[in-house]
Amino acid sequence: MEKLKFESIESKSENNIYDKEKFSPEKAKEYVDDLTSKFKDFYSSIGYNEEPSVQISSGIDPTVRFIGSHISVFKHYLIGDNVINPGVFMEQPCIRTRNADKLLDDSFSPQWGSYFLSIGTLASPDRLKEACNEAFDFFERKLGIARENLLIRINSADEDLMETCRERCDNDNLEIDTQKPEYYRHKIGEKGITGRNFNIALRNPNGAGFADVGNIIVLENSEKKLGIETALGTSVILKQLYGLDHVQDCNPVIGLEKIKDQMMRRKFEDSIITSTILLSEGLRPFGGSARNRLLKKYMNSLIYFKDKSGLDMHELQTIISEFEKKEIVDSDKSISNYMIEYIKALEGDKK
Amino acid sequence: MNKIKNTIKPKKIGKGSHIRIIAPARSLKLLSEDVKMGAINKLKEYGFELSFGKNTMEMDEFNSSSIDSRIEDLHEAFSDKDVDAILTVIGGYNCNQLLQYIDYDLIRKNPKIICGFSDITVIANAINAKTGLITYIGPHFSSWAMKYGFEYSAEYFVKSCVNNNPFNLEHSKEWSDDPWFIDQEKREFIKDDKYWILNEGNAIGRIIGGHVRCLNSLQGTEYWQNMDDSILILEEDAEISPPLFDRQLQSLIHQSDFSGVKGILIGRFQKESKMSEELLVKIIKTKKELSSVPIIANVDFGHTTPLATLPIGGTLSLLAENDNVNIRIIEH
Repeated sequence: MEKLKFESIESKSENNIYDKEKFSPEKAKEYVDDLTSKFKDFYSSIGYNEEPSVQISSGIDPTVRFIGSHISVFKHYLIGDNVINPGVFMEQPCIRTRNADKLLDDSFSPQWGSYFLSIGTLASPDRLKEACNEAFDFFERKLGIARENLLIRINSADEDLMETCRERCDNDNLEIDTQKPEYYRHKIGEKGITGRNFNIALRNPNGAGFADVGNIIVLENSEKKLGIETALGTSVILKQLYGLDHVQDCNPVIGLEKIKDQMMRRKFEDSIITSTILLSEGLRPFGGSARNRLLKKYMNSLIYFKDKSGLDMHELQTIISEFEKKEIVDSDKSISNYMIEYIKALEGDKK
Repeated sequence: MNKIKNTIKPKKIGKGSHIRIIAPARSLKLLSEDVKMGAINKLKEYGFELSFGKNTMEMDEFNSSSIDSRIEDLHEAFSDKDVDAILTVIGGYNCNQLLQYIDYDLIRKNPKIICGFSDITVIANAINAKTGLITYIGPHFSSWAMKYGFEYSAEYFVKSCVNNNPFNLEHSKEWSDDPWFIDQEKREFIKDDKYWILNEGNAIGRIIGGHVRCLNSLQGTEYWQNMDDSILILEEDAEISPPLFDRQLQSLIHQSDFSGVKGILIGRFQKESKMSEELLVKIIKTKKELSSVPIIANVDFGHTTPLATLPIGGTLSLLAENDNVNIRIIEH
């Protein structure tokens, strides 16, 4: 099978305030691994314990179909009111399926990919100030981001959060009450547990404006704080640092660059990435459960975009195979084979 | 109802792989020395290294052994890191005694190929239902002793358990129903056979099933397979008769999720069963639930030889129309 190479798209690095090199899609995984590794090194060095990641389709959190955040893995600490001191950290592959129903809508332009890697921590409830400072230290000291390029979006009603942030940040770094109230509030799918958050944004690499890359959340019940969560997205951080066109550039599907319609390309990418990841976890596009049906939906989208883009089955298999080799750790390299077989079978179903 | 577990694919085997022989149904002691040595030599020709569970020679008045002994051998075979795959000695009647004693977590954490047929249907389906691990309905250890007419069986064992690629299940050029283990030289091979297309159509799904009466013994238990989007494979032995097969099939149809069955493959019947294509068509036609389910019978698996190796929990697509049959094992 021929090896695919990126033909033309390389994100621009002109006027990058973070002084980053040009982002190479061929090395995208290395950038993600480097950021994740810095995160883990940092929290490990200050005494946090690492929590192992779980399969996205593991079903360990019955309130969601797929793991969409590391909080699903941390929940047992909150429910048992036994968050350890100083805290735990983890990296967690996630899928959020908000795109699934709209992929076949030609007017829908997805801002996010379904698949992403979340990195996060859960600190003990008495460590609000420390947990916030640790997150700021991670950005400023570990990633080398100047404070002027950080922005805190915060609600003045959250006095404890305000007090903590004011100790660390200048007025220039604080954006107070600019968002709708729900922006500062969180739910985690557990009755009686709610969250109050402020968001952390990074300046756009061209210097104009900011975009959110994560948040710090006080999780509590009606009586007390239960834990302090820091939630960060690797792809949104890298998008800001390197000026990527889209978060999906962190998991590029090599071979789709020739598709000129960028909206279609992003949705095609999303279908391939999500289908491959879920198949690699052992989920299959048949069976009555909602999770199986969601996978089938992504695979039907994949067929739609294959036809629309004019790719033949061989080209598609080459593209999926390259993605599998690059992204799936311990793959036996067979996912692309049976994905093509499933595609043929699903196409047969439609005839 | 059991939820369908995520598929766990066992690592494929190859030359130098270590196969553990265990006897979860009847005992190794039941085999003649010729059969035992014939199987050992054939498997060694394929490059496999063999070892035997320590209780395989134990034999009681049921030609089997104690539950503890059989469970011990099964667990040891899965937990031993040096073992790559497991073959069962032969079928029997009592595998379902083991089900509540099997450590399914141990199996989930140490996934490997396990292959056998007939009574092994019970273990193969229970393991798949409880863990998601693909298991295999195919030759027993004893089957490998067959001197003539085993090439097709070996070819499909390799396709399923050694290779990774999807493959088509072709109809064998000849078959036989001889008691080969009694007289290896007195064999009758029948040619000019073909698939019986009982209902046309196409389907794709997850393979479940095996020996019908063994499968039916799982109904109503926690070891029963979810039938959503399934391809049901059914085979029987010489003890079956057309009316008895009808009853067993009807019993499956009464499962609450039978509507999830997308297609059915029926293995070739033994001569003694007196099943014919005409009788089978008649049985199928009495069941309105099957009217839109593609069904292909006289397929090469079960108690006649040769027998293909089919992955329980794997994926199969089938197409049957205008005398044209395509059975494709997609994932195994």
